[in-house]
Amino acid sequence: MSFRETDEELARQYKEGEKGAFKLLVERYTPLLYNYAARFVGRDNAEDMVQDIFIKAWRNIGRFDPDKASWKTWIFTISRNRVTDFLRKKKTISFSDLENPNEDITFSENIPGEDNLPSAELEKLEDKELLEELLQKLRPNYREVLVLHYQEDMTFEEIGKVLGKPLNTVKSDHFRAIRELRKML
Amino acid sequence: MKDLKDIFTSVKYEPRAELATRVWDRVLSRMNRGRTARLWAFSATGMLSLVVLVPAVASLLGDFAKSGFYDYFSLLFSGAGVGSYWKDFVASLADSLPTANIIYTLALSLVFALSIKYALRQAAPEWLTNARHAH
Repeated sequence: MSFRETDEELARQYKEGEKGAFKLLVERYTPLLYNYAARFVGRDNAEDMVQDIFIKAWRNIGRFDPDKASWKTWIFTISRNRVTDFLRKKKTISFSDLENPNEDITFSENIPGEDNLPSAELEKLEDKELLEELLQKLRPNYREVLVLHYQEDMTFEEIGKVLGKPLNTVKSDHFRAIRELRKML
Repeated sequence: MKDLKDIFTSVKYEPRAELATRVWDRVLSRMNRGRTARLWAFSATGMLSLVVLVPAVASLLGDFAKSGFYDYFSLLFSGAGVGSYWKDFVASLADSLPTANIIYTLALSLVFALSIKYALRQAAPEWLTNARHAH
């Protein structure tokens, strides 16, 4: 029977001096972070971004506390900050595009659990090129929620921790993202 | 029929196969760079404290001689005995100690010992880690 250590156990082992434990974390998270980074900074910059994220994680691993956040949430928070810094420096995107200050947060409390689109629209989205195009057209904060939820397999609660937003705001962004997708279809 | 998760997963960007190895190599090189810097820093502190420690020990031994500590101490073995005067004897003995110099020399010794300990830990981290885990 194979035994797979959790990310948090690996982080603890690294802190206790087992260098190889961090290598396993790098192997596990490189594909996830690459996809996330590529979505926002482009594939050309994503490799360097992933390296920077791991260097930052390694430098700060002493501050990682599994009681406060999972490894996944922690490293995606680092990634999100790095992506934001990158975009801010490049000025390819307004920083405010990643925020959503004018939205009515209380509205989200009554959001239905709209996880899926009607089957006709889902069929259209199976066209990969179309989906790529629509994702690029979406506002970054909507794209972020969709990428983290559907591609990185994170719960809304985890996404809220990564983005520093209340749960209802994340759900609201998710709802609006789906609505935008439907409009564009 | 696929759901949204399946559809989104189908357009995930995949990194080149060697990216994880490249990332790890870069982290490793940073680790080694940091370790080398710490090794030099601790070694330099150790050497410096040793250079200062040698004259400090010589000065301490001189202070022991000047303060009469050896004379008081030799009374213990002189056969005269300190018997009922032992309280006065201990007070005189303590009084003759060059306290400031002792504290200074002990502090230097501590800095030297810790520097060597941490320098060795940087030089042979694998070996020390294994030894620690064995306990």
